[in-house]
Amino acid sequence: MSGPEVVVTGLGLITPAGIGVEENWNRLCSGEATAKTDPALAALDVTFSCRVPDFDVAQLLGKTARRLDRFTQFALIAARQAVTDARLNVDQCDQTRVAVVMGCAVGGQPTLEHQHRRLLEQEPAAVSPLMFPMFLANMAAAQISMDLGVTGPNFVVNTACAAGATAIGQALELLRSGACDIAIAGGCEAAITPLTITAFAQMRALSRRNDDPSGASRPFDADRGGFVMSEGAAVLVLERRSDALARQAPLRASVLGFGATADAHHVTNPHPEGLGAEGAVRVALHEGGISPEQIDHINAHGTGTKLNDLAEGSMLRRVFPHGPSVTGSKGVTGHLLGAAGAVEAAITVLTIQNGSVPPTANLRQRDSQIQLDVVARAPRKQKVNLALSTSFGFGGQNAALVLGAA
Amino acid sequence: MSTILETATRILVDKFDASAEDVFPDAVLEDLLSDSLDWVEFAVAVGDEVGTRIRDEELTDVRTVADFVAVVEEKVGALK
Repeated sequence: MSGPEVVVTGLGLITPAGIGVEENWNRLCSGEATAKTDPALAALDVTFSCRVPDFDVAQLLGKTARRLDRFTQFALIAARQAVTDARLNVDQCDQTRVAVVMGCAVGGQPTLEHQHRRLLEQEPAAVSPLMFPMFLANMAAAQISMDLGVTGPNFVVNTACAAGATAIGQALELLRSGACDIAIAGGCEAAITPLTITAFAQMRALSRRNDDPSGASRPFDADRGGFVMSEGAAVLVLERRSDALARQAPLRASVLGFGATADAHHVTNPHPEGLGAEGAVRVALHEGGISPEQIDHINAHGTGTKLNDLAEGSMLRRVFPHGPSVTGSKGVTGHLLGAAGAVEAAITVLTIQNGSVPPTANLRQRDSQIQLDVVARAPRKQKVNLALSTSFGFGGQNAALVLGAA
Repeated sequence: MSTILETATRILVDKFDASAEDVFPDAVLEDLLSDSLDWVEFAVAVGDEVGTRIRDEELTDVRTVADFVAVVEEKVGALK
């Protein structure tokens, strides 16, 4: 392993599966999909999505909420949960040594579209001066720093749908290099708008199962037809093990390795054999000093698109011929784009802690070309010591995290 | 129908979290709004409600709530 050991001491989650860690875990274990018909998408080619359940943003965030786009609201809610979960009193830390690293693929798309409409339909003086402070993706990390009063390294990474995992990987590097003592890291996204849905549909990336939304997101299933747009955030608090033990923090899991590669292949399609993805996985294993056969479980990227699941399935079978259990969380949550990697890292932490693998929703008949032990229908009791979480983004940007028992 | 003063007061209280007792004609807007972004946002919000657009340069000499209301009243009057 390169550098000091790093552990997860706190988790925060806000997704269509619920608000808070417990709600999310219960819904994931139920295997009940969250996709529903979305009134905001009526009359489009795709009329459903996965939305975070209604919540009182003013109650959760107070006066600050007004100046935040929805993706940043999610980021702040998840960050506050994670800090509380880690029993971290920021006022008693050296705030200059607390980093924030978030992943985000799109940013404040609803704000951008709303203000653009005002410009086109009205005039320049109708455009809000808050458009940029709300729209810019970097605000996810910036607003967390302002909310918590932490002044260490602070940035947002964008590797499309791998961004949440890339952010956790970058936070791991910051901790190992000594650039910070605590890292608040994760991903956030809230980009479900008529324009984004239409654009993804035009790419043939989305499921069009309008008459059966809850059956639409079906990773690794023979009858899959694309992903389902989702939204939310996940945040992890990471610390060096020695620091976490010194302050008697709760230890949820360890973060052992991170790998990042590019396919150098195509703007949207993954390499058909998953070569770039394999590189990321092997780097993450090597960095963690782990051999492939030690991996007990994989939380797969599993978008439910034809191409991703085939390429990922082929790659995972090749690297892990011993057949560790696999789950595809997007069957329940849908695809949270830049937040997905962080949400799935958090779910992997919970899988390790609970000794239980949540099922892959809607997996009725596994694609015969995908030779993986994908958990379906019900949670599987399993002691998981070492697990992998994979995330892949448009542009061929790949990230893999190796996590282990604390 | 609300007056422009009533509309501006309601927006300052509801949207910008000003205390009702702090909003009166001679109140200084800088004390009620947190920064320059909120200044412009306030003008946009009032403009939405009263059906006009207040340009940044029209706010140059505005200091108090009454100053602001006078600018808007003049614009709305010109529209009639």
